[in-house]
Amino acid sequence: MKVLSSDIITLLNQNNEAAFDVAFSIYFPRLVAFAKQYVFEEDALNLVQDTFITMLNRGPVFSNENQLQGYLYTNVKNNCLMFLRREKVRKKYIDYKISSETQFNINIEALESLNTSPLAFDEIEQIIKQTLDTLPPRCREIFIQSRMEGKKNAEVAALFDISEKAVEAQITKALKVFKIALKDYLSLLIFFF
Amino acid sequence: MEKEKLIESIISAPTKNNDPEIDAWINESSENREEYIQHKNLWAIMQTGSEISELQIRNSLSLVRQKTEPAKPPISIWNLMKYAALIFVTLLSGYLIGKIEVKHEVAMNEVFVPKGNRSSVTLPDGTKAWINNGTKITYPEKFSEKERVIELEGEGFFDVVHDKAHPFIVKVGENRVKVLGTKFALVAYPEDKFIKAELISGKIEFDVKGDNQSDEFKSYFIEPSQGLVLEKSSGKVTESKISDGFYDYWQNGVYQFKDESFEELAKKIERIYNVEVTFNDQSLKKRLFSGTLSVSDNIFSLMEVFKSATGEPFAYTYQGNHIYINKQKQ
Repeated sequence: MKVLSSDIITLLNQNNEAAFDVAFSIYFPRLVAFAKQYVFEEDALNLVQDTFITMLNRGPVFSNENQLQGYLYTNVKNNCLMFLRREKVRKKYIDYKISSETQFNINIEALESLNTSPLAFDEIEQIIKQTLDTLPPRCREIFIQSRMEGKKNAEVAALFDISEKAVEAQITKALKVFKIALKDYLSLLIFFF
Repeated sequence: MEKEKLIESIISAPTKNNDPEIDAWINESSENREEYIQHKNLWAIMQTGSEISELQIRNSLSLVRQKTEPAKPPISIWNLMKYAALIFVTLLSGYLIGKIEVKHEVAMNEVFVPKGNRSSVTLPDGTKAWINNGTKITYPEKFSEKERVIELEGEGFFDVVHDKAHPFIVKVGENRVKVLGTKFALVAYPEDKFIKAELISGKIEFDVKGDNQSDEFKSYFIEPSQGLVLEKSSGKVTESKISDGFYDYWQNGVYQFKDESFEELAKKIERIYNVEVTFNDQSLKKRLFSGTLSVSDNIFSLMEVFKSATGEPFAYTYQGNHIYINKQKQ
């Protein structure tokens, strides 16, 4: 889901500090929530911070937002993988029952097979757009405000003048549709070995 | 296993990652493994992270900045301050204070905080002054025996040390504010149409200069939680309640505004973010906005918020330190 204007990408390429702050404030939460699916939250925070430190030190150039997105997700993915592959981490996660051995292994496997190239994000965006069109209008509006604009449930509730419970219900409904719709497209997201 | 249960387990993964039932299902077949991975990855990539707090984002950003920049010594007490304030202290030795007491010379200090910065100063009597965004204060190295006099151009918050015998006087242009010991704020930029004083505790006297010729002042008293606004051109004084966002502004650098014109807001934006704003479309100047802006926001997020807050969107371009506000291209 693209959110940054092309002006900001241009400024980012020129190492503009404020443009970096904007990109950070938008992508940091998304990336932490992403990494959290594979590693413990505290580790996710550190690994995502490392990604942004690398980006600032190296100053990569992007021609559009998909490239930035691909760069960030790939970097976080690799950081998570390197982290999980350390014997010490495996021991800690399993000993402290953060995850079972099966879960731990499948998280590594899942990350290894995840395609985070800019192209993959192009495709995901397409699928999401198509799926959105199939949602009932109100459900779609609530889903956009919540998932795409990143508003909190309470804010969305106030916006539509409904209860937070009703917002949650609409989002669950939308997610169900997404899960069914995306089933056919799932292969697009994955590299099969 | 039911699909619902599988999805449920993925959604709750960060908190519950060791369900033996799910494990057994994953290990049952390679199809199951694949299906689990597909759902898991899809769920991961769809996350927007709205549960991550604003504070967490800010803290992480400053951590990232710290690790990539050579450390700058913090000068100011404002923890939200983005850049260490540059303070220019000029010692004007030989400057004379008080026309009667010409006998001894007193050195004057001048502290200037550039636009986009905030800082604090402790005055010779222990009074603390917080100053913002293109503000200049001038004070003597040592206060005179009769009174404590300082000059202000811009905005400041003062926590004045109580001393009945030595009134504390802030000169703002031709007018002045006289206090004994109190907490109050003054907004008095030379280029603004208004001077505003707001009082938290104690009592202050606002002396407005009378006619051009006379040396007389007309005095107004302000009670705690009250404010007073002087319109410079007419000399008209209006009383008001202390503004809602007063503490937020002075403590956290968050400025609340309600139905304020874009033109007035642009002046504040210029001071807070150290930019120049030019309206290429004059009609936009009169548009009213309500909301908040924070000194720790950056100018781009701010402009995007303004853009989305208005019914008719506008366009803006950014060149060096200059922001041009334009009509939205059709």
